[in-house]
Amino acid sequence: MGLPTLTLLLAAVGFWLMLPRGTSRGRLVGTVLAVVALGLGGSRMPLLGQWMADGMFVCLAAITVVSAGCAVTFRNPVYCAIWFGMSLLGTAGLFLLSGAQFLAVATIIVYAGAILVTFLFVLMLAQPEGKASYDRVSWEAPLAAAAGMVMVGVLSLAIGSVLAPVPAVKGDAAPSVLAAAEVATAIAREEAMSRHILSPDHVAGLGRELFGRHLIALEVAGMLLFVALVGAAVIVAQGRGEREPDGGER
Amino acid sequence: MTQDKKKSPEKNVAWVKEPQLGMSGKSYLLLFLQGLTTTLRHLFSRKKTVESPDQRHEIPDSLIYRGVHRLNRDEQGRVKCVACFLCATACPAHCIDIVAAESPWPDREKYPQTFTIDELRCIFCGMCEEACPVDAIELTSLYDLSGKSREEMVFDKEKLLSVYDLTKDQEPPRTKRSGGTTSNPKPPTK
Amino acid sequence: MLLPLIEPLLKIALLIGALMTAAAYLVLVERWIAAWVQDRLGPNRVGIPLTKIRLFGLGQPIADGVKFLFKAEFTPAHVDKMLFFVAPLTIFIAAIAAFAVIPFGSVIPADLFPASWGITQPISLVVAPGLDVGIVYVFALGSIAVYGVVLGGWASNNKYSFLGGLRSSAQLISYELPLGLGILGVVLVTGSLRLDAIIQHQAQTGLWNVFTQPLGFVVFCVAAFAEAARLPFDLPEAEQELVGGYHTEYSGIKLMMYMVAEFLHMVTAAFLIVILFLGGWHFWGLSGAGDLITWPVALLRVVVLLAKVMAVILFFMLARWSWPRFRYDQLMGIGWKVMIPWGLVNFVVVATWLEYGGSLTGLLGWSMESSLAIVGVTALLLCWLVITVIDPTAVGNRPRPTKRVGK
Repeated sequence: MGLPTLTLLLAAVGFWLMLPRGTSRGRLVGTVLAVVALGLGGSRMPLLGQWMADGMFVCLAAITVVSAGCAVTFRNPVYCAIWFGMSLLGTAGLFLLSGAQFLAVATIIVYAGAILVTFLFVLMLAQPEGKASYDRVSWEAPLAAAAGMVMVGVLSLAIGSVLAPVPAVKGDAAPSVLAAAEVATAIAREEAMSRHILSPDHVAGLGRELFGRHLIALEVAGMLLFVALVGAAVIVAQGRGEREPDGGER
Repeated sequence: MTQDKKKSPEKNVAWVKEPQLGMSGKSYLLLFLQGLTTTLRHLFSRKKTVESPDQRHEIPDSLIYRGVHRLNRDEQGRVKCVACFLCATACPAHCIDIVAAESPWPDREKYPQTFTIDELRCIFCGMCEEACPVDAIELTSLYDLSGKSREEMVFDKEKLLSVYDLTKDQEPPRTKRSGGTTSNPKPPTK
Repeated sequence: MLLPLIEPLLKIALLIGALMTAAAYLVLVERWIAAWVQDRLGPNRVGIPLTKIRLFGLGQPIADGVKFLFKAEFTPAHVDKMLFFVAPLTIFIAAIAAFAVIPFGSVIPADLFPASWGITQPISLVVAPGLDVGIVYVFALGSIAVYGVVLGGWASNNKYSFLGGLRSSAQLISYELPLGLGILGVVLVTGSLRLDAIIQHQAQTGLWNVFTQPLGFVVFCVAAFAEAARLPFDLPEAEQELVGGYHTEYSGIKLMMYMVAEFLHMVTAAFLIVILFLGGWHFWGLSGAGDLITWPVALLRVVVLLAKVMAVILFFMLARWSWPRFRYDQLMGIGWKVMIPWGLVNFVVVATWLEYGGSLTGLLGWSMESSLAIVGVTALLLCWLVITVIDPTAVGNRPRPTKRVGK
């Protein structure tokens, strides 16, 4: 448990130092710490054994993590948004690498194509110089770093426990029958899942799943967005209504 | 509205109503086809471009074109100009410079010792031509005027006379009076 | 053994080479068309360098390219250097990458190659043949292209560029919706997002989607014109009326990237229109429908597809000189008040027909496709009539007499 905890701590402290509020020397130290943490974390990454797939995975993962880091640490909000977009592209690449084509493309369309562009609009219209003082006063930096640390820790614990049985069995000299059966079912489940994902018409499968099992959730989400849209329209219409009576002139 | 008309300070302002589109206009379809047919018609029509260095642009009537100047000669080959300075006075661009000297010939008092026109300053308005009492200066239909230096574009008397020699066959002088003083009205040749 | 790696690399190299050449020569075609429509001759002098051979001006694109490369590339002092460089690159890469899923024909049959090469499967003429999301991928890259516009406008740090960037990105984002709605019906009927499957479906039924879903075709075409920023929707640039738009500050090779990307958008749009609605490589009695073909048919399919694409591109270029530009509020009005409802109507009509059309056609004795065609044409006419009567884009934007004065 020692190394992962150290990695997380290093990353948390590094990011806290790197946040835009800090001095340039502090940010430099923070960057070094974060890079070290990234290296430590990366060294523990399980590899698949195919150099092409591994290389692409490492590249995309590095792009994703580094640009996510840049997204929170850059001073200029427009750059932050761009880095966020880069991180989204990396995520989409990771999805694509694992065969989830639709998810990859949907990530780009929804997040990069719609949400982030809206962000950019607001940022550009609000402060073209990107040097507003209130952006630099982020007093909740330690809180954010700690929360991020806890988040990443819990996630890696959870994922680690999912992946754990396989190497444990390999290392064990005399595996119990129960554990072996468990592993066998886990592997079978995983294979079934990957077959499902990698099948040539997985988009159709995804559609069936979404509009079959998750129909209610989907409709509720759609309704929520629709209500939000109507609400926005109502707010805009009200603001305009006050000015309308005398032909738009005041 | 009627009330407005009486009290409005903008008495002289007429409010024109926007012309209303008919059904065919609103549906875009007819206009869409009209636009497309116009484009297609022009796509295959005869082109009007003159490929300049290979073909010369023909000026249909040299009288309606104002190009490079020339100094006309009289019947004996002498310069017609009598150095009266009317052209230089009329010139709005001040591009004509004349140095007058006593004429060696008996039929006039002065003649231009030098006569220079800065073609780069000239605006080709033709006022010099209008002003000249003896029809000595004229604008030809030569349009491709070019040179490699500013000095080259300042035309002196010899060069202006050589323009006359060059163009006298295509464009005979539009003379109403021949010589300096005698009157010989003749309609323009073209 | 290396074949699976060589094949895509070869395709990519061919594709990029072909695209760059095509973009350069399409500029020449565009200039020719522009000239001919205006009763001029157009570029016809540049041929083989250092000789007098003119070749109808076919050397012009090379001269243009050389000019762009060697022109002074001026970067203003006040720009955001990093993003100023990234923005044209983004739009350029996105424009090229979109072609990864676009088929340039059907397949090359395996027996065309020597047996020693070990090719057993017919080679599909798509760079990424396995991509199941097909058309959605093109949309994703279209949404990336918006970044090139927004960032270019912002990084120039110039009010004209910035406003131009806002103007164009608002247009691009608005018209992504009708673009998506236009294809929904096609995807529903085909049951797949893959472009080759969509062509295959049209070839098998023999009725192109333009006949079965004319409403979707109109919506998609209009949106494609707007997305490619072509007249009558070329508000991003509007060279006769406005300062250059988002690329006011650009020059040299970066400007060329923007220009080439714009042209590639048009080519993508033409390809999509042909593939989604005009039957792709299918032509009655010429191309067959199946996947097992001999090489003359394979060649014929490529020719048919490219001929259709060229025809659509020529229409794009003619349209530029045929109709006046829309005003910005008209542009937005057409997008939101006409095209989106039409797209929704098309979608609903197709979905309803898919659900209940079978029993109806069984009752009347028509084939499925021809009944959809009849329904589709009726829907188009009705929608057009309704829009003509309502005229939702009409906005009284003329100055009105001030009513206050009289009171």
